[in-house]
Amino acid sequence: MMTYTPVDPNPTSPRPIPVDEQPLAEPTGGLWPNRFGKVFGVAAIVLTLAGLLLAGLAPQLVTHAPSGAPAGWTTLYDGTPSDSAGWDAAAGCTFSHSGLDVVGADGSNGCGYVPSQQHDLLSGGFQFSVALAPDGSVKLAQDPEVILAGGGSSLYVVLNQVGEYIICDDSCQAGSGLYVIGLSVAWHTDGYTPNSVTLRYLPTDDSLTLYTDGQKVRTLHVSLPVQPELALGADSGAEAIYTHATLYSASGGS
Amino acid sequence: VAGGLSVSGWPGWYPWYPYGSYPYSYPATYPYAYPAAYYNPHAVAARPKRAPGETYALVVSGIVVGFSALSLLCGLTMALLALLIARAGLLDNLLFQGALLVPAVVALVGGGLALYFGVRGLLRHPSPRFTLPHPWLFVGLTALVLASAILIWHLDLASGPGPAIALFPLELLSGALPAFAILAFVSWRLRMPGTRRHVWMSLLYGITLAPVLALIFELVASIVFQIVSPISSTLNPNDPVLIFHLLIVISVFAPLIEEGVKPLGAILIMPRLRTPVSAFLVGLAGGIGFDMFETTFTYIGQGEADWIQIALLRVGAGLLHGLGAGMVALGWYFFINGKGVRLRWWKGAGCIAYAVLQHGIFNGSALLIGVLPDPIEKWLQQPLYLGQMPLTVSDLPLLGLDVVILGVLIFVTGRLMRSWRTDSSRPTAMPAPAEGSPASPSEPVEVGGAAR
Repeated sequence: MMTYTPVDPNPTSPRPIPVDEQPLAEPTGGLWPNRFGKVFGVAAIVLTLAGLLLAGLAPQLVTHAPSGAPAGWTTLYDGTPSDSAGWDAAAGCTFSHSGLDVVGADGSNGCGYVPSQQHDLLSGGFQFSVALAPDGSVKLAQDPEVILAGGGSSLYVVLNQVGEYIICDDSCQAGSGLYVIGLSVAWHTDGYTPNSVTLRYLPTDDSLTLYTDGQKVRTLHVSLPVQPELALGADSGAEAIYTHATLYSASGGS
Repeated sequence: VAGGLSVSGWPGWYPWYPYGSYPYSYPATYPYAYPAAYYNPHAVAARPKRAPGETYALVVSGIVVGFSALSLLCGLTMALLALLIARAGLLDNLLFQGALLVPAVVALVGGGLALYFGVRGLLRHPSPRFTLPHPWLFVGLTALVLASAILIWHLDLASGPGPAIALFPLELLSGALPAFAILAFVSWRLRMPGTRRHVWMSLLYGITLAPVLALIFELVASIVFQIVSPISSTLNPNDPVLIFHLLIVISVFAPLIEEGVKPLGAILIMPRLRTPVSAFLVGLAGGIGFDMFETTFTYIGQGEADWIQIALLRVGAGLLHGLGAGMVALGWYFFINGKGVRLRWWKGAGCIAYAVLQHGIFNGSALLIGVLPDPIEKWLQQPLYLGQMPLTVSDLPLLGLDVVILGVLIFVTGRLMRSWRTDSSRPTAMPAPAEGSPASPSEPVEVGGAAR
């Protein structure tokens, strides 16, 4: 078959307006104008329902942070961080009824959890969770930082307002030692909804798992510093307000 | 008349077919045909002349096929890149998904459809009338998606939203459904004055090539302007020079460039578009495609767990981009096809100026909200809660602008239809089809001269 090539029967005649470019004389009724419209509409409905189902089930497709202390572990801390409850009032650390406000600076070691400086609370396994104030209530950019330091080495977990995270050690430079960067979908960026961060370390396989807003983000195998001390800080030039902290430890206070 | 439309002056029994087109094709070789040289030694010389515009249509179809192949190649490359990044564990967020998967999906689906339409155009296959389901269907689906996503946001507050890939379809739908609602609304209001190929190709251009062109031009313009008038990049509300600089970039360069590139698909086929209503619809489709890409590629992913808040604010963006592109296409219609139209140059320039002004005001107001004096800015930054989900007072003026643009869209489409009904100067050789006629959308027919 050969498709007919149209020819102009009279090249000088004025060109009429093709039917398909004229509006229909009467408005079309009903939901579907024709079979194509029906197929398109039904496909849109099916895709919408499938998309909703998938998004609704999505939280069940990921691992979540354990909500309580694992069996056999001890709750070492559960409350608003305050200097009277074991947090170090170092430079840049301000305590109020709303929590611990830390302003980050170069070389700052954050606000330490004093009991962890006195005993090895973490190397046997721990789970540490912090709740943050909404970003909008912080004067500077809110970039929280959890520091584990001991024996001359350090491990940092830093996040920012858009959900980017960096897990790094010592110099915290790309290409030198541990340096992992990523972005979490489980992070509220609206400025009004508070976020939370959880770190869980299991010594059996040296795994450190980061959870944000209760959802697992990443698991890494790390070498924890010797007898690590726990501290809360903020990235240099930024700020963080910690409204609640919870620490579970496998080794208890021993 | 069965098989065609009766036209005044033609015998009623004689089927009248659209200009230059017949709803059947000749076999390549007739059973009784003789070799051409036998039968007519001057066959080549006697070859009939193509209908006006047919060569142009072939060239456009060829361009479409070329770009669709390029689009498929880009889509495959982006998909491969996305796979590599996913393997590195970096794709579990909406921002990277938007930046990689949206272009990959758009380029593959858009390129595939463009290839289909381009090849059919090269073969000069006719295209039926463009149709979509009733706009209320898309309005309903949009409401369902947004309301469900707000509910899901609340349910996921303690647990997190789940893997980003599981949110991706809903994210795409929240960008596409409101845009389709606007396209369907205009299409139904104008009574579907365009072919499927023209409207879909304009939309596909708007969702693929137009954003690429806009990105390139905007980048070049920003760099040139930065060289000519260097400023620091930190937004400081107390620095009038900086504010003026940003206003120029956001409210002048961006609208000029975006309103210039969005309807290029429609402008390319403008000689084939014979009515202002079809020019407006085809142009609007380009803007709708652009909005779909911009919403899903640039904006929604930035919200991560709060993506739905951005999706809510972007519901009206299709109005801005759609009406703007439709108006620019209408302006070009007056320039190119408006011979005989009173004040056509003024009308054309006015349409384009409106689109740029509308876009400039929209962009400028978003910037100005951020640099208002402290007390006003604080008031505007107050949260408004939908349940526990925060929006801000500053969102309301932007939503108000959307309502104004919707009003203008209703007015413009109403004027277009009134002009169409009262325009006595248009060629009347082919009457508008009535409901139930072969040319009605319930039964697509081969139309145009021959393939539009």
